[in-house]
Amino acid sequence: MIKNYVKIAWRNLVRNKGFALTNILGLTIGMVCTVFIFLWVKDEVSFDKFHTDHDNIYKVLATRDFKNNIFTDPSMAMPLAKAIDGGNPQIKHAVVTTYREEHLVEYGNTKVKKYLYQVGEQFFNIFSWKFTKGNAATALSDPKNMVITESAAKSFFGDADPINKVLKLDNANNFKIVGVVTDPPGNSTFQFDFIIPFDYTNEWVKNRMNEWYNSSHNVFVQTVPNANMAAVDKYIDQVKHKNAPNDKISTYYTFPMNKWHLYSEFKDGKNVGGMIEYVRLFTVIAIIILLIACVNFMNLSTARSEKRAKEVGIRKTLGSEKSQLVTQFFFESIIIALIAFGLAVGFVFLLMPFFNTMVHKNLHLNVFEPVFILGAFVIIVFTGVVAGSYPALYLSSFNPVKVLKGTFAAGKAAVLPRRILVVGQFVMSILLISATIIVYQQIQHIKNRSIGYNPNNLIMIPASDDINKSFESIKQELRNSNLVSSVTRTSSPLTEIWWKSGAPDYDGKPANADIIFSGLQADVDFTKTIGTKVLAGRDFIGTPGDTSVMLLNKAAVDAMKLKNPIGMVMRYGNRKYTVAGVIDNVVMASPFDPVDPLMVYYSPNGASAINIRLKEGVAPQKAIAMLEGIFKKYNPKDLFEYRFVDQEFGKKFATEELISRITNIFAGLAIFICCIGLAGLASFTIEKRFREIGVRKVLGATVRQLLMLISAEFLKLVLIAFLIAVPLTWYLMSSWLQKYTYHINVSIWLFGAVGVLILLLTLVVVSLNTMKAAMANPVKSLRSE
Amino acid sequence: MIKITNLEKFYRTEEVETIALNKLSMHVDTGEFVAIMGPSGCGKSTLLNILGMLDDPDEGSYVFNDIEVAHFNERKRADLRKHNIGFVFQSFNLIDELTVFENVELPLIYTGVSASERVKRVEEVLDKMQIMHRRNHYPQQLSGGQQQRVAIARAVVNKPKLILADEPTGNLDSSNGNDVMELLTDLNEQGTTIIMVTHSEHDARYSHRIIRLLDGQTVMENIMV
Repeated sequence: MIKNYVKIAWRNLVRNKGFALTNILGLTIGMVCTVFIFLWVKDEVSFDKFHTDHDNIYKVLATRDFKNNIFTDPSMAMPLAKAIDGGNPQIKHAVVTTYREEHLVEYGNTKVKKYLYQVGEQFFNIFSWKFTKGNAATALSDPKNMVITESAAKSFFGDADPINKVLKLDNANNFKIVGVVTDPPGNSTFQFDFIIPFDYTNEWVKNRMNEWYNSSHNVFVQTVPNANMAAVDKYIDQVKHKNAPNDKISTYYTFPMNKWHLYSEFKDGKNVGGMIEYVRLFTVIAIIILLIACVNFMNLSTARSEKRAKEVGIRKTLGSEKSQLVTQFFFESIIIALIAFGLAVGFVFLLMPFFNTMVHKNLHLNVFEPVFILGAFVIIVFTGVVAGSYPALYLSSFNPVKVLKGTFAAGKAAVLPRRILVVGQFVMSILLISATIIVYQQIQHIKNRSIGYNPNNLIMIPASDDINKSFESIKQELRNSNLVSSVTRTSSPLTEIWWKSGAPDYDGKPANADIIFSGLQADVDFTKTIGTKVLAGRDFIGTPGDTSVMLLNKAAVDAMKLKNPIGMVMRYGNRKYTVAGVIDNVVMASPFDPVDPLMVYYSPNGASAINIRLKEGVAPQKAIAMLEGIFKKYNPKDLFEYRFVDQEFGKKFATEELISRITNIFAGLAIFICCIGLAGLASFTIEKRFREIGVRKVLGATVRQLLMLISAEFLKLVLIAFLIAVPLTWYLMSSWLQKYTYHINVSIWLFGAVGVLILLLTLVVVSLNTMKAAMANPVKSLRSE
Repeated sequence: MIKITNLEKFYRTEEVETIALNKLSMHVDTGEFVAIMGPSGCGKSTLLNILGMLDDPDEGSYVFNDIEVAHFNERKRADLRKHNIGFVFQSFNLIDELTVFENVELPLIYTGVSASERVKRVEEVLDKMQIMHRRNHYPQQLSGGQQQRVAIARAVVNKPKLILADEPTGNLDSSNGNDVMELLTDLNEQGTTIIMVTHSEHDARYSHRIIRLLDGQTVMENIMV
């Protein structure tokens, strides 16, 4: 029986090549999208899962409550890990690490910047890094030990054995390589080239180990399986508060490793998701695209049902039961799904490099992987069953007496569901296209938002002690170069906020006015160099008096509700500052969020960034060559590095642009699949109405009138789809936009444009198919009876 | 074998109700060869469809081999049909996508005959119909007479007790038509009951008995000598 089904299915495909091609092409494109999304989602949800004990690993977080502003902080006091390690039966291990640090690494004549973490002794007990040389147990036993990744080892030593080789860090400290680990995979939160242990004999580390109020490390814990996490959280919170009794604003708790990647965003102390939203969004898009392709199949299958009707009649007469026919038609759709999937896998292999470039991942397809086989099975069966359902039930219900007598005609009963399906397809396409445009407009809107300074022609060079020492000479040389218009130093790059704290005190401060401030230290020419406006007062001028003045941004003045801020005295720490100037709101953190209040005070020598504004019209390459000469001269030990501030700022849109690119492609493909289906359906309609077209032509209809006749049927459907899609899109996208403080409003013109686009597309696709019939000699069609 | 009593069948459209069979009664004995004749619209085909259990009557009784089948559901009818009845149509109704062999094999698949047994029986019947040499051809590659022989082969491959033929020679020239009638006569002589709808007095003469219908009723019966 099954052999018979396969045979019939195959011969039907071969005999109806156009139909088969249309169906398979649509399904293949749908499945290519689905497979790519599947791979992307699989990678996203697999983050950090390669650690053997990922279910029991947690990061310690703090919710810091500044009354008006609650935020979630991963920065912890350094001694916390040691204090909780072994202090509670539920906690197996705890470890402290630095944030990822970039260091200058030197071997022979090679000097490069590499990433590393400094870690506590339990690091390799908690996380499962694979050692290819050396061993985890002793790797951190000496503060001068170092563990290196395979690719970092290769970059320094080629194929030579790296064990016992010595690398110099930051021109100062030597480390001996005692272990080699495989590179952290792409789906690892930790990304590094080296791991080194903390040196607890170092004075700085010793001090930090007694410092319970300075939070600048990360702390991780590994619990026993099925630990009572509420109790663990409570314990950690107690330990921290016992040692830091004045920390009244913080609550400490653990955040599971399984959520680090997908649920990384916090708002007002609560987890608000993160990448998981995109994982869900793309899963939905994959299903929508596959559904659109399935609808094509249903439509084309039922449209050509009259051709299959005779077969159904004969089979029923010969004793086939309805269920056997249903099975047969499902079988056919599953075979088509299977062929489409095979092709899709081929295309996925071909297109993988492009997709990887687009999503900045290194995905690959392993067809023998159980999860892929399962996924393939689900996609094929889903497609086969969904696509085959309506045709199978519809075709198998034919009355054999009618079809064999030839009195059978697919009545309105068959046409209506087909129309509903086409409308549904177009609703989804219009939704996807409109959504894509709205996402694009929103990103542009944020990009065009006033960011309070001018990031163009602005170069940032990381500062070092040597640079700070020779800064006046460097500045003089820059001035002499005639390429630079001004220079300033800051304590952090302009595109990052490194320092957050409570508000300074001032006379008249309301008792409950706890405002979170960003802080920045700067040098003279600060406002001139970064190109921000001084709204009141003045910039730093470099006089000794500058050390007791501060600048506020407009957001700070607003948040503190100050009428005449200039000249007011602010008390911060144990020092007093007079407000000398008010500057515009400079967007340093996320461009999607409002600017936090900012205080800037004068402290040039702790700078970590030199900001250089080039004169208008200076070629960047020329300026870079000049800068390299000067900085190498004064800072010979370090590599010369520079960044364009506008490019750094642009990176803040990376996720949104990625999402925008992916949705663009998917929306385009969705509409393409729709058009394939439309073309197929149009050609069937024409086949059916071939005689009618002939008769009309004999009676004097023009080609244009005939085109309109056929097109009208489809345009009507598109119009209905449009009327459904518009309010739906408006509702969905308006609620999406609500999550942005600065957002566009969905414009009615957008829908107008999308509507015209879809109508034109329909007209073109249908006309191209109708043209042949409309131009044909009517004698032909009338004779063919 | 067949006994129908007061059989009624109506066709309703929105405005008119047409009576296709009007309290029709008749019986057919095992081994008989009966021809049904009458003008277009007299109810011949409706009767054949009901006899073949492709359609059910609105009123009346239909006893097939001592079983009342008038109100069987589709599944039961299909089951009874595939084991007992073979069909021959005017327009052959072969499946275009299947070869001669596969078309003839189809009823055996639906009655669950094993693959080796199927090959044996299909070859046997193709041989008998003298179209063995065309076994791997598709229907469109055959002449009308050959197609009808395939259709008859398909109708008899399951060794049915009853063959229903709906104008089996209607699409054939007289020489091919005579061949088909000879085949049906042979089958009847070997014991198969045959009921045939026809417009052709010539074909009807092959039968034992002619039932003439008009407006859904029997108006005359001729016993052939």
